[in-house]
Amino acid sequence: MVSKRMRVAANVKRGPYATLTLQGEVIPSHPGQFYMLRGEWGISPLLGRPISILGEDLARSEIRFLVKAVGEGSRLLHALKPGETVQATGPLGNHFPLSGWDPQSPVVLVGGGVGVPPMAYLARRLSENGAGVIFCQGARTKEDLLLLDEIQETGVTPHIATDDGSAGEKGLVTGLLERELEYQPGAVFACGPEAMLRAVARLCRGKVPCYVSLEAAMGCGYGVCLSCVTRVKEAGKVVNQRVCKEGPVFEAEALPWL
Amino acid sequence: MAVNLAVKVGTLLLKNPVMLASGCCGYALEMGEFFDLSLLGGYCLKGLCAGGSEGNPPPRLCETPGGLINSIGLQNIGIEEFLREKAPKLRRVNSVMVANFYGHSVEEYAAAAEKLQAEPCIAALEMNISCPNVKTGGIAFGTDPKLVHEVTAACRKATRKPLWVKLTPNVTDITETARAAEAGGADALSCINTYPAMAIDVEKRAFKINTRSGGLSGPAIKPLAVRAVHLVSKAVKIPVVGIGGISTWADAVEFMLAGAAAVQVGTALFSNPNAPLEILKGMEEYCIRHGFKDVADLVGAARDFERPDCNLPSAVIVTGEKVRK
Repeated sequence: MVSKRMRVAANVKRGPYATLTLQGEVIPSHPGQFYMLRGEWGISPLLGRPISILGEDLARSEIRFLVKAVGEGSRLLHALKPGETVQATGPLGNHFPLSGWDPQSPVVLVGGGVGVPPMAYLARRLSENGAGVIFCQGARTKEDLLLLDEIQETGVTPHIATDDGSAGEKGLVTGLLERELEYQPGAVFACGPEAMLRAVARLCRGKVPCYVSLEAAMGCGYGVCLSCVTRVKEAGKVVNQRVCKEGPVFEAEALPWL
Repeated sequence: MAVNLAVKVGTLLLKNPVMLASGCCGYALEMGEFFDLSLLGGYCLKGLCAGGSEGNPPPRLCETPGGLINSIGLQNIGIEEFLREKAPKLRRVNSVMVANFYGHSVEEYAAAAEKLQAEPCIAALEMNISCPNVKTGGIAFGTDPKLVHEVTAACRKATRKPLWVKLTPNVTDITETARAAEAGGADALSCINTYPAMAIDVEKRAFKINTRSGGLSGPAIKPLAVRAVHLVSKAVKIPVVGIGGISTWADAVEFMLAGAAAVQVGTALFSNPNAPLEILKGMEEYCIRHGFKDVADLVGAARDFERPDCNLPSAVIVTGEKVRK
């Protein structure tokens, strides 16, 4: 990991979402990893924001993120203009496993909200590795679906569930997952709201290895401030682990609170 | 022009005045992934106690304008594990390592100091009597001059290493606790720890951090810290190490002009891990620009504001501050 100033090459907006492309020295990353991003906006907000990696292009020295304008920091990232600079620290954290299951079995990826970008990156990497990928995306409405083109581009067909039935199935993304579990996938990977992760973890318990990526308020993102700790089972005990360093990807079974 | 960046803090020689502040740089190894720790004047480890601590439940942090409130609660791996697992990896770092430590009683403070005495790579000890986020220990010792004296004296007996005392600003008169620490045998004073603070989410009608109160750090507290450093440096003969919202070279220079012999960079590391090196470079350039051959000449060099053309009422200085007659 390094921390450096990167140039905004592009920032393409669609409603509250922006696909941010940064250019500079890019260290190869893995799906699930993130960067701390902070524009040069003075002293408030003081901290960078942890943003998952959506993809990278090493040949063009570019790295891409999907930012949703929610609070002060993410609104400022959403508003960045090409040519501006960003303090970018990363790649940070661990990543989703890329092997370790029966290669004959497909894996199921479950994404919701801003949990979709890291899953899109994972879908791309797994497809490149020749793994069978089933992608389930849940959203409130058709308008809230993310990165469908990007996912299809990797050769993966997104399965969709929306709360109002405006696209795909009407219902929750876990409905899609339930059906896929009948075919005994090799592993399940999930990123999204905590309620979604909890439902996914419960469905997978005792049946299939399940990995979830957690979100947490972070100070530094690289392991020194100890702000983002969560309770994790380790060698028969429950201990504090840093979401930014030991995570953000954890085995669902290791999270007693999920 | 070559600038001598080396500074002395008591008997310790630092290759430059820029250090990393305790609680913001882990056990330094994490920072070593960003740059060579040997480039720094020194670094202060996360506060250690015997047996370690799990710290406070999350949420532990929230942002405020120009600052942040934290309530980590001194989570640490313990002196024993630090000495066993981390210290061997830090031995070849050519920089001054300061071990921050605490206990829950005078006896525990002294026992911690004694345990750390054995490790040769620890250059100095920084006694934390100022953490606002633990019920016993920490700030409970730092607000009463008598206790400050007692716990400093007890640790003084327990170690031969230089003993720094990290003070809290959460007192009526910080010079009283500063003098008590000096009288107890401190070799230097680290000024300051965080200010007790609170923030509430009005939409959720909930405190933003689990322990309600936490410690405020960052640029928001810088002017308060500059004043504390100045007052303390005038009140004691031992050196003062300046801490509190330092994020730029100008901040670091300001603390030295106020009276700090060296500075510690803390919260600024979170948003820019390279901040210490950028600060160091900026300080050197400042010295060249202003003709200082020795960075130590900046210490306490702030002058009174003068306007000879203006007939202002004269002022007197009371405990380091100017007030109108």
